[in-house]
Amino acid sequence: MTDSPVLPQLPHFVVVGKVNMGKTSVLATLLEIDDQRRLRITATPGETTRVQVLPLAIQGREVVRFLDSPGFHQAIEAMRAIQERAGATRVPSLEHLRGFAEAAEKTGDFEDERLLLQPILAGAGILYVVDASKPLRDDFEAEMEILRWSGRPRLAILNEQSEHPEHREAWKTRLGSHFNLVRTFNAHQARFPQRLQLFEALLSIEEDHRGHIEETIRHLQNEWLDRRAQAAEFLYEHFRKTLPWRAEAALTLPEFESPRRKEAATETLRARYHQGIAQRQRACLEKLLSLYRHHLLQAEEAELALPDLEIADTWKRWGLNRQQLLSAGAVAGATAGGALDLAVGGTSFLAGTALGGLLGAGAAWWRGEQLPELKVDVQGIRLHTDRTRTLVVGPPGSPNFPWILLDHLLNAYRQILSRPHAKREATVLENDKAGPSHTLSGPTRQNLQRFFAQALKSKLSPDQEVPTLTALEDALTQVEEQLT
Amino acid sequence: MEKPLPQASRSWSFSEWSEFEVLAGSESEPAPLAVPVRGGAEERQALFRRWLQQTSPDLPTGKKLASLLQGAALLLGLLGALLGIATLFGLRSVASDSIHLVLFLLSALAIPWLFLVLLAVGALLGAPARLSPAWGLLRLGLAKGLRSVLPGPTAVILQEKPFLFRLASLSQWLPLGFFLGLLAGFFACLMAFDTRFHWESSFGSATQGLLEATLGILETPWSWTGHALAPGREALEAAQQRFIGSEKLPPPANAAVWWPFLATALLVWGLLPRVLLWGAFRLAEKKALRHLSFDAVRHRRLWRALVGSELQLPLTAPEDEAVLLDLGGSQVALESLRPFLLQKLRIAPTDKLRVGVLDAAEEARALGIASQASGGVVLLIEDWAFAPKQCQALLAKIREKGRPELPIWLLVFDGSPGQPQPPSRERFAAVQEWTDQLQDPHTACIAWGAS
Repeated sequence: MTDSPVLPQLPHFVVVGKVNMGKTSVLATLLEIDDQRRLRITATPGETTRVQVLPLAIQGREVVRFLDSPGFHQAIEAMRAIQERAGATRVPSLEHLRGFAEAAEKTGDFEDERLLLQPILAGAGILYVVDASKPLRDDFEAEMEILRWSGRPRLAILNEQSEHPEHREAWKTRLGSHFNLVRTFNAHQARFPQRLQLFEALLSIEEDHRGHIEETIRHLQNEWLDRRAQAAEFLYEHFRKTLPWRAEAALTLPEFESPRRKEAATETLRARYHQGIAQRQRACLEKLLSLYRHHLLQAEEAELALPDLEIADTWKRWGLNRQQLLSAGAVAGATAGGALDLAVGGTSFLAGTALGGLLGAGAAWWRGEQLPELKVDVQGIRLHTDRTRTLVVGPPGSPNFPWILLDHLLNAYRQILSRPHAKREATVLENDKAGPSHTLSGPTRQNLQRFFAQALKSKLSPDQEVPTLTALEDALTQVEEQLT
Repeated sequence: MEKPLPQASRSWSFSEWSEFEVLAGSESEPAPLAVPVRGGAEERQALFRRWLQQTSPDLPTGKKLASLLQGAALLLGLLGALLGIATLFGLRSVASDSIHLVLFLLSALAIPWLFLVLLAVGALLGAPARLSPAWGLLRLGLAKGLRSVLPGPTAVILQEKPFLFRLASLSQWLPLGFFLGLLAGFFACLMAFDTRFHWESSFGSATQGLLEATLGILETPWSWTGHALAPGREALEAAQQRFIGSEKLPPPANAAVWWPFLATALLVWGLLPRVLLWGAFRLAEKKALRHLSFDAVRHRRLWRALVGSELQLPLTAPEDEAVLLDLGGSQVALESLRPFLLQKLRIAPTDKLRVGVLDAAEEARALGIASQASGGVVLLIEDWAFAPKQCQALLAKIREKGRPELPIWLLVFDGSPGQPQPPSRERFAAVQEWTDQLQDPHTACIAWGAS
């Protein structure tokens, strides 16, 4: 026998099943591995040629180990060989399986069966993967029998690879009599809650290493929350740097005074501004993709990594609608006015709050439907000795601008959360329909509006950091909740 | 195993907090602590405190900053005291040993209060940094000053509440010193000179009325005690300086009437509010230090780095990856060979590279990659193209670069239609015979489609 990949101090789970039942896909989604070089998933039967160890570690300390195995190729023949060893009158046991594996190693027969039995004989728990869309045939019966004879803790996973798992009930009934627990897990649709449930199911079949599994589950939950917090930080940093950003170019006085050359320079800057914003959006998306361990899901090229800001439809479909902009603008304005009320000890009878609210709402109403005109500004006029003028372009004069950017990112976030790691085709994040910004709760929108208003004017107060991070986390949580 | 965190009991001191913020803002990556993950603000505080104790137990930066601010406070106090003494002696007429009451009240009480009200309104507007360019400049100056005397990114603390409250309490040392100086000068004058008090005005009775009202207001805080200290109308009238011809009459000896009131007014309206403000700012600082949320981006990053909660997957590629070396460059695609190689040889082809081609660099690169393959190398040979000496040279090059036990297969096939087909029996036999002669246990020959 070769060196065992099973260590007695750790919980081990070997994933077994017939070839092409999606064993590796289950592991890929469960452990978030979309790297085809590390964990191969193809339609070719027998893609997994040997037992592959997939350890999970916390702070460099291994806590649980999964083992991917080659599938059953000759289950019926293997079952007969094992039965032969036990004799006609006895039910085969672990020792008979051991004897079978040792004999197979000598003869070179049943190589796949021998390899998959190896960790089971060493003490690993069994995760038996079946595709509920396939009919329950005798070779599956043989597989289940062999696994039952091992006496190891067993969990059956119904990996529904088809839209119509017509044999599901038959499978459930049959699996129920052979396994300690049966769980449904669609490796091509499962998201975090389903992954967590599968980890929790491991607790039901593995008693000896309960502490390790509980610790893993706790880390898994914490890590998920922490990722959301980190995603909020990425968005915060992105907006903090992107919203105040302007495209600038220095023009000589003759260039500046020539209307044609000035217009040409402005056009160049407009293009540069849009490109710059798209590049920043893309960089933020790439951070989110990396955070959620996606390598095959990709952000668009920089030029396309954003809804087209130069067409009116974008401004209508993306971001917030006019009423929502009005409401968010009113609250942001009222907050600013409230500071004035406070300054005069309330003697203004909240006139500042009311006026600020009205001004904020009015600005949003007036500019909410505005077409995407970029602001153009000139610097350097006051310094008469200066022989150059700086042309500054951006951002668009609509309060919906930051919301379009956010909408685009939340739309991508939704896709990132929905994408299981078992998928192996490289896909570009879709950018053709609006995101979920308009579904965010009122308080979340208002908090974000305050932040956007300050950031656009480069007047971000340090006090705004923590409330904005909280609002962004809330927004991400709401997007995630909409998926369930 | 995980170590439990200490209880987050006592509040942070200013030195601890500033030391921590400077350390947290630095770029260096902290080593993870083995602690339970994720918790509320208390758990985070406890973890940060432990990290601070381990990283910088002596708090050099924090203590230095606290000392610097303390030194600045003393300096301001001293400056204020000198200003107070100078003001008092400036108000005193040397010729008549007399203090002008109106100027005294204006300089000692009205102007400091005016400053106080303006600053309070500014602060209530909520954004001194934005409203006052002076504050922006001051902050820049402070940042520069701190950078020159303290190591690390100290600018990060300049906008934080504990620092701002410390700065606010520090700023009270100037008026505190001023009033103490004023009081000291006042009593020194009384002790050393026959000091008198007078007032004069072109408006006469109007100014007197105003003074009477002012004295009444100033006495309000202690009027409930029943001890009226404010001099009455007669004393006011007596203190008015008049002209006899072109000569000014010296004021009467009225120090006993005026000094108790003026000293009390200085204490109650000058010193006391500043002491209260100083105390309020110190309390606000302590409150801010007690309720640190540590939830800014830099804190979250540090927390994450310390806890190291990420589940790691120390994965390596499966050791069945094989490189296909296509002798001469056949038209057979890797994908069409894949099922056979997986199921028969139990290896997963990852790359198909050409050898036996004119481009020497391409061949050298292919052999370099092949020698590193974990699962082995497959030399693809079309049955008609087998050339023993060429194969021998290639095998020698692979063996020279790769490990001795690297498995090498010679896969013989008929690739003429573009799809691999079984080789002719004779041609395969020739390759097999040649392979056997090599007597290399890690080199084998196989025909396409062999069962």
